[in-house]
Amino acid sequence: MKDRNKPYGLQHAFKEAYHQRDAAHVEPGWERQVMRQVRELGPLNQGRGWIDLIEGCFWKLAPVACILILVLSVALILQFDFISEAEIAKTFLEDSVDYSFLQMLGKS
Amino acid sequence: MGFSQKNQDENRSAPPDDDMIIHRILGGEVNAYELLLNRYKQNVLHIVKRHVPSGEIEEIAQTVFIRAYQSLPSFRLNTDFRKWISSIAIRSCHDYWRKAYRNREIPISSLTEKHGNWLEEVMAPASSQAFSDSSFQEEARELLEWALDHLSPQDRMVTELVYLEGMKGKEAAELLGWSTANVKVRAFRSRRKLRKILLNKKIVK
Repeated sequence: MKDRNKPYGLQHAFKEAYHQRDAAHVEPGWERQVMRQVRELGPLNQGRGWIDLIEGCFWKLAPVACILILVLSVALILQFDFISEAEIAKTFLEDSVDYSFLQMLGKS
Repeated sequence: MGFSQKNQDENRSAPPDDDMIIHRILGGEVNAYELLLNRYKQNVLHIVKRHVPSGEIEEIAQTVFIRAYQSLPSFRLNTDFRKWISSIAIRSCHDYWRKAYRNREIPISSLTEKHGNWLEEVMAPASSQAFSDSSFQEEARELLEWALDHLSPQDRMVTELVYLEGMKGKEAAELLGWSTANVKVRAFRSRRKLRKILLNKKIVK
C-alpha cells in the first residue's frame, strides 16, 4: 500500500519526465565554431616549463618549509636572548628609582 | 612484404584510436581535435542536455570541448577518454548552476493548481494515471524543474545523477570529482530536502 505522505512514490514519474527531456539540437555550424576557438588557442604546449615544475613540487615541499621556518624561528629567539615586555615592566616596577627617573623624563 | 603492406593498409583504413589522436594533437596538429569532437559530440550533448536549460546546451557543450582541449596535456594516455570528457561535462554543468544561482539569473517558477492536482493524483493510493501520457509528463517535468530550482547547485547535481539517472555513489563521485562519502551524504540530505519542498509546496491560484 502506498504512503500518501511519501512523495518518493513520485520518483518513477520524475525519472520518466527527466529522461523524456527534449533531444539536444545544435546549430549546423556548431562544430566549426568550436574548432575555430580551438585553432585560436593554438597548439598545446606540451613541454613543462619551470613554473609547472615548481607547481608540482610546491605541496610536497610545504611541510618541509614549515618545519624549517619553525626551527629558524626558535634559533632566532634564542640568538637574540628574547625578553618579554612583561619582564621589562616588572624590572621597572621593582626598581622604584629608575621608574621615577623614567617618569620624569617622560614629563619633560 | 605483402603482409606488411596489408597491415599498413588496415592501419590506414581503421579509425585512429583516442590515444593516437591525442598524441597528434599534443604534437601540434590542432586540426586532429576535430576527430575527437565528432567522436564524442553526441556523448557530451547527451549529458549536457540533461543538466542545463535547453537554451544553454550549445554554449556549455562548447565550453566542455574547449576545457577538454586545454586540459589535454594532463590526460593520462591508456585511460578512458569518454569517462574523462564526461567528467568535464558534468563539472561544467555544475559550474553553470553555481554561476546562475550566484547571479540569480534563474527565476524560480511558481506552481499552479494543476501541478498540485497532479501531485495529489500521483500520490493517491489508487492512482491509475499512465506515466506515458504526454500531458502527465509535461506536468511532471515542470514540477521536477520547480523542485530542483529550490535545491543548491551541489544538491541538484547529486539528485540528478543519483536519483534520476540511477548512478551509484562511486560513479557520481568520479564524475563530480568529490569523495564517495560526500556524494552519499549529500544524496541523502538532498532527498530529504526535496521531500520537504514537495510537502510544503505553495500553489498559486
